[in-house]
Formats: sequence, C-alpha cells, structure tokens
Amino acid sequence: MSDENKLTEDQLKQIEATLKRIRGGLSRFSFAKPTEPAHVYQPEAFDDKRA
Amino acid sequence: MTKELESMSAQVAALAAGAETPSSLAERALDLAERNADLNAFVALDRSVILEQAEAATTRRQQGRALSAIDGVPIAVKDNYLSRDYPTTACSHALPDDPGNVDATVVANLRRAGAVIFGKTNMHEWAYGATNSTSSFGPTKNPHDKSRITGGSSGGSAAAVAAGIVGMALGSDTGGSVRIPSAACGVYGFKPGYGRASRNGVLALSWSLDAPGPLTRDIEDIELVLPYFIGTDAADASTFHSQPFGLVEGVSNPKLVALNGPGLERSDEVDNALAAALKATCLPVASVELNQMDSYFSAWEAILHCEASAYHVSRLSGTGFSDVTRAHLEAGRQISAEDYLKGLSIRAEFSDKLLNQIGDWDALVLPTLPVVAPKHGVDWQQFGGRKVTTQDSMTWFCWIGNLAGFPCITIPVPNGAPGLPVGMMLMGRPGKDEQLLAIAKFVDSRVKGSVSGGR
Repeated sequence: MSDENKLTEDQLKQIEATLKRIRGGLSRFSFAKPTEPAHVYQPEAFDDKRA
Repeated sequence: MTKELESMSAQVAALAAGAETPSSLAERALDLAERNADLNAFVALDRSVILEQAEAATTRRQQGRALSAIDGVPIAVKDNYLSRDYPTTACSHALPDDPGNVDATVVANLRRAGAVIFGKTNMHEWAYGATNSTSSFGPTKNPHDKSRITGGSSGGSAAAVAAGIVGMALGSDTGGSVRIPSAACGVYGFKPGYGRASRNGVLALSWSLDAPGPLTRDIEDIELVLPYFIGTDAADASTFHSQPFGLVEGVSNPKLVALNGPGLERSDEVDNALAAALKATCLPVASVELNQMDSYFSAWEAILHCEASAYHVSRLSGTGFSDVTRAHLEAGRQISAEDYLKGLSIRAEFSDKLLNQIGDWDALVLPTLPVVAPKHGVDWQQFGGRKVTTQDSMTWFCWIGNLAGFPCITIPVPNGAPGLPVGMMLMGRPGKDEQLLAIAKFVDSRVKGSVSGGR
C-alpha cells in the first residue's frame, strides 16, 4: 500500500508518462474558441430586461 | 450437478409458468456461486439476505401479487453501487463513504420490481482500471479459461453472468467497464448514452464519462432490464432530459459503418471474427478511416484523471489506494484547468466529427477488444503492429463511446471452436439507445442464425 506522503520511483515514472502522453496528445489540437453562448461571459446578458 | 441459471428472459418465463419459484432460483444461484467460488466473482454474498427476499417474492407470486415480470429474479450488483443489503467497498482499502441502508437509483428501481438483490461483485479498484487484476479482494478469473483475466472494471459481474450464476448483473462504464468484461467473458453488455440512465448511488470515477449498465446472457435480457435504467431521476441532473425507455420494434436494413485507421488496430483473430459476423448480417457495411485517435484518447484520459482526482481529493492524503491507482490520482492533480477544458472542447469536436463528418449511419461498428482475454500477469499486448499495455488494450476502442457520450452495446460473436470470446461493439446515435438495441437484436439474430445454419 502507498505511503501516506511519499510516492515511489515507479509511481513517479507512471505519473510522468501519463502526463507526457496527455499533454502530447492535447497539444496536437488547436484550442478552438468556444462558441456556445453559455461559455462566453457577457455581463450585460444577465441584466434584467424589464428594468 | 446444479444447472446454470438460464437467461433472465427464460427465468421470467419459468416463473410465469410455475416451473420455478424465486426460492428455487435463489437456491440454484447460491449453489452455483459456491461451486464457482474460485472465479472470485463475488465479494459479498449473504444466504439469509438472499433467501429472505426470494421467499417474499415466492409468497407474492403464490398469492398472485407479483410486482412485475422480474419479481423474484436474482441479480448481482457491482460493488460500486450503493445497496441496502451489503456494504459498498469499491474493492479498495481506501473505502468510500457508505451512508448505509441506501440503494442506488437503479438498484432501487429493480428492488421495487421485486428483483432479488443477490450479492456484490468484484471489480477493479474504484473502477479505475480495465483488467480486474487490482482489487482488494484479489483478481477475478475468466470462466472460459481461468488462466485469463475477465477484463474490467465490472469483471465480477461478467464472470457471474458468464458462469450462469445469475442471468443479469449491474456494471458501470467510464471507458468500457461494462463492455470490456462482457466481451472477454462472452456475454452481452449495454452502456446507455450519457444522460439517459441515473448515476445516483453509483460511486463516481469520472462523472462526465460514467454510465451504469447491465450485463446479461442474452440480448432479450437487455430489453427486459433497460427500463429500470433509462429515464429521468431527480437525484441525477444529467438525466433531466432523458425520455423513459420506449421500445423500438424492429429495424430494416440499418446503415452500419465500420471504423478503422491508426489507433484502431486489432489482432487478426479478432478482425477475422468480426468480419465473419458482419458478413453473416448480409448488410452492406461501409468503412471509414478515422485519424488522430491517439490524440482524442488524450482528451478522454485528461477528463478521466482530472475528475477522478477531484472526486477523491479528500482521500488522497490518507492510505489505502493501490500504488497504481494512487499514481493515476496524483497524475490527475497535475493536469491544469486549461488542459481539462481543452479536453472538454475536444470532446465536443469529436462528437461532431462522428455524428456529422463520416456520412449517414445508424450504428458504428468496432470490435469491443483488439485481443481475446489476456493471460493473468501479462503486462503487454501486441497486435496490428502495436505494442501496448494490457490496460490500454482493454480500453482500446471502448473509450470512444464514453468521450462521445453515445450509447454502446457489445454482443458476443463466434470465434471458431474452441476460440475464446470475441465481442462486436455497436455504437448508436445520442438519445437513440432504443434504436441501437433494435439494431443489435437484428445483427445478433443474423449472427446466431449463421452459426446454427438457419441462414
């Protein structure tokens, strides 16, 4: 079982390999600008139109 | 010698005809569980709890007060579903917070229909792996060949169904955890589309990828139990737009598209079995090559690890996780918010690509696994010019359905004699779980017909 705080060498290698794989894969995509309205913060959209 | 339990549909028919009682089914299942104890399929099983439920169901049936067609049918429950009868451990020494005396929504639905909650099944620790080799109760064994793994994470459920101990078992699926062991053990497994089935009371692995689903001995059983999974649940906001299960009766000439390309390689053995099964359907099957699958996999992996770490953050300071699970969780803590959001963005693009950029289709087709069930203790698999870890070989195709959120089913297909089980995976369009099931029934009947010489 895992020590409370310390990660083993094997675990550190596993973490490094996992992160390398994820970051490498994600980097091959351009981060498209979200187009869904809910993802664009427009404070005026929350104004009470009845006012 | 006690006879294996038949499919759930056959049990229902036997109960209706009076050929069996819930008590006689429970006694048979208990005997079979004992005889198959070496499979290590069950982690909690209480004879008195089971017989008490079965006797109550028997009395109801004798008095003509059956709660439903499945009243008195035994079902097994993966150990990450909360249930009133048994503690929930997620097969980990890092125990979940079990509120006690609470049923997951799916368990409650089945219990309300009179199903006998039979026992809790072994699983990969916290569903965080696809081999079932990492469990606080030890690995499960494949009923077809005990020197081989069941796959996971619902490996105990698959072993229990494949061995005929029960006709149906509950599983959960984040990257294939219903479909993988179903395929490796030669049974049927269904993953509902995201938002169709309630996750309430099923311990989370990755809340935006998770789905509960059934594993069964026959495809009719999927139809029998899906109504207890599908529909709105006030306790799970993802289901607020879910329609109740609405059976689709038959399909005519569904459009199938087989997916290929780099990242979708498979062994010759599996490819040949899939090709023969598709040929038996007598349907035209288009083939489409997808690209960048390794990169899309990274989006699934980023979401998985990030959400799992967030879910387990309070447990991470303590001990109890296996070394490999803790490493997964620690990796998740190091994924930036930017990368997590990028994964979500890529997911939307991926769904759009499958839905709108590969032509018209009713179901996408892949093998469920690229290899047959691997041997215990073998860490690497080689197929189609690839060498990947056994863990990655298990999720090789299945993660696609979770990243896209589409409904998926695996059905067993022939692999020669005495070949190990091979599964065919069909993926349906979002919100079309019932149509996918109808297509799968059509395909299954054609494949079975080809084996029996009926076609």
